[in-house]
Amino acid sequence: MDVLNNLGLGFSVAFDPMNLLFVFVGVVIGTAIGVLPGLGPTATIALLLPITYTMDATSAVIMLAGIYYGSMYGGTITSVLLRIPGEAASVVTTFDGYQMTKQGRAGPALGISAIGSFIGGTVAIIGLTFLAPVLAKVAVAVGPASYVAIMVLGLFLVTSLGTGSTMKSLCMAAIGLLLSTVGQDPITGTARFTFGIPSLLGGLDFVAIAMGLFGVGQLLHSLERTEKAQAITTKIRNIWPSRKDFRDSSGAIARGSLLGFVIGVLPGGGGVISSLASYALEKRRAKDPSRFGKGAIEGVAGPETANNASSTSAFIPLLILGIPSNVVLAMLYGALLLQGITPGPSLIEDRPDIFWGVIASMYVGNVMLLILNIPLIGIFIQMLRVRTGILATFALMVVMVGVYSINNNPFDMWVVLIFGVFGWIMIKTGFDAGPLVLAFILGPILERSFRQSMLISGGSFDIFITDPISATIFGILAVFLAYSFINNRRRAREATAPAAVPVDTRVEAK
Amino acid sequence: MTMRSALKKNTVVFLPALAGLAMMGLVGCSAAGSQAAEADYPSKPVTFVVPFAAGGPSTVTALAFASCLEKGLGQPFVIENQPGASGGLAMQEVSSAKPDGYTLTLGTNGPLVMNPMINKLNYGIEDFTSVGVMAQMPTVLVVGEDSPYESADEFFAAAEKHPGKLSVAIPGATTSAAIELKRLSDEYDIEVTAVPAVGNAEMTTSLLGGHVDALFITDHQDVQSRIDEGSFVPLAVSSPERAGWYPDVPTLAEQGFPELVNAVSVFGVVGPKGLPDAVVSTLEAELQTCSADPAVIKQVGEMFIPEQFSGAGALDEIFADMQDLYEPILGQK
Repeated sequence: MDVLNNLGLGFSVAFDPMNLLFVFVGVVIGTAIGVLPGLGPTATIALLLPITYTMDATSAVIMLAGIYYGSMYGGTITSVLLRIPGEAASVVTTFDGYQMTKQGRAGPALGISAIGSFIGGTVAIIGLTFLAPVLAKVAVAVGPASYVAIMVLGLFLVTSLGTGSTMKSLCMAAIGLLLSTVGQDPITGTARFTFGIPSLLGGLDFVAIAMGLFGVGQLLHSLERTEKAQAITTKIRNIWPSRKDFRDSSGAIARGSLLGFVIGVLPGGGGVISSLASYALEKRRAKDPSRFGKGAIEGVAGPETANNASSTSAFIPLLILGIPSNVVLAMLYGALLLQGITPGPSLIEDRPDIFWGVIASMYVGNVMLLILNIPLIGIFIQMLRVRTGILATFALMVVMVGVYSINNNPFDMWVVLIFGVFGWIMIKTGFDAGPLVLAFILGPILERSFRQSMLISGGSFDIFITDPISATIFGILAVFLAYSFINNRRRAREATAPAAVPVDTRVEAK
Repeated sequence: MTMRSALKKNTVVFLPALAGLAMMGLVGCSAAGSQAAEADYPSKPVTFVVPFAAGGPSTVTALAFASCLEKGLGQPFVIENQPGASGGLAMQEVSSAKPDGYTLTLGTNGPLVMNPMINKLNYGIEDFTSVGVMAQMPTVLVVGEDSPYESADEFFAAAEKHPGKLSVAIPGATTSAAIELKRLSDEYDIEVTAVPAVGNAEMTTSLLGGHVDALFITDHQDVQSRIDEGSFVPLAVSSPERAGWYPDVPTLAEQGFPELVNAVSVFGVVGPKGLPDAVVSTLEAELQTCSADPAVIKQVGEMFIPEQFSGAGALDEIFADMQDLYEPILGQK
């Protein structure tokens, strides 16, 4: 009952006309920058930070939060239409989303993403309302050793989700890990693989690599094809998900909401891990896993839902513990500090108007985003009618501007172009960029946590067994590996026996 | 064909001539205009580069001072966050900018002094002109509320008894906190395991979750609010004298480590080498006014703005001392 009273207070704050306006401004800016590839919430919030401290604290956070979750909606659009992931978590969306576009199903892909995002976001806000204090405890229990396990699990998922051969995915993941070691050593601060180039000291930027491999690579590839071939592949059939689409993706959305909510609480790689895990889960559960990577709607619905759920639940450690779990939330934290408010355990009691006001504004913001996004889908799809030459040029320009804006460093623009050429070669030779990019994101967290674990334990591997989270994850992985090994052996044996009848117990009655 | 070659020839001759003319013009202008430019500084917006990602204490400090400088000098001070290479990228850019006072940066221990010693970078402390100090933050040794160590005595006794057994999270490898722990082991033979983390957030998590035994953390509002509510217990501060806001917490020097007084983060304003004296004194005077401005004090935190303002000369000395202190330690590599 207490929660409902507080939520009432929250809504009274959120429905204040000024705050309502700021929610709207936030989600509109968020959607817009999400759509523009490369321009992410990080750069936008950094730009707006000086303005916010002339604003009321609650309004400022409400607006910045709106930009953050709004950009998660917008990020999907270019992933699906142009294969340019706007942020880390939408890398996974490109796998099936872009394939759907090629099949003329961009509308359903975007429609289901918007609906999934809305459901995922709302489920996470409800969770945030009722479960936040419990989950906050989980967030601090996750130490370096647990991270090692989570990242190993993540890498395991990465290599299993490529559309090509596992060997190719493994190679790409290995290259991704290698690239992630460029820059300063996380423990000693010494330079690695920088070849005397100061810009490499900070390491390669994820956005630049993803934009290059996916975006620019794809643009180069599509320029290669004739205009005629383009027109056929991008013909738009329908712009709304069919009843079958809804049926196919309802399970994925439900599972994505829960997965995303729980994983989002983890600091660091939350967003990516949640969309990865959702994709892997859907692929595993599918009756016909080979559809994945070829335009399966569950492969879009699940990860997009999980991504939005996790970006909302990431507010739990920030608001309850005062621990920002990613760069964007760190800037929100900074915005509050500028207002003379230190987010932390005492925030709920000291400033319930901020705590509950922000939560209530998220309910409002999500509804606004849904209303905003559904009619916009029709407009965005018209983008595909633009001639490839023009679209590609414009997209490239926006990518370059966006990438520059992340670190204000022209070097990143070269990284995009170089990786763009690699991406194009990879498309031609049938290598997936997904495992590379995802391994690149997980690599630094894996390395740092592993070395921190080793420092803490004095070099003993026992730490991975005594830590309950890591012990559980490694245990499950071991069982799973053993199982699939035995299964493969059995299947190989059965394949040699001609009388074997394939039995799929998962086939449902139609 | 002939036309094209003629055009080409013409261009070849024409371009250097044009360039020469333009350069003469520029040189002439700048010679005549520089005196005037210094006198009415600032006459256009000033870029203030922060060498870290937005959101941290550095940005908060820079923003607070920027808005005050803006009011006092009548031109916008635009904050530009340029993270990367532990602040090295921003420093490199500012060191090679024109020393006209329109590109300034936040100079602090890691990026300015330590980074060029560890990594091959095209700048050093000598490539900058000091303006003045904005804020100073000591480093605090804190443990969790359930820690078995209730005082610095107990903590260091345990560390001495079991070398390397206690883990202490630090804000990064190239920080004065890291150096101070290394000196603790080198000079006083007390060995703790330093665990470099990224930022205060990660450090806080690791202590609250019981993953490390203690933090050697840069003091800031977040740390203080945790100390106030009791989840962090401060054992010692790194400043030469006790901090006024923790009157009961001893300094490391009092604990028997008289040399360990240097883990204090200094946020100074610096510009490229050769900043005109007139510009420096304009900025210095305004900076001093701002460090007494109530709005600035409220945002940065009263305790972090030194009561006695340190100007260009004093900041020069602070960085020179750091240089002397760190050179033998980091130079060994």
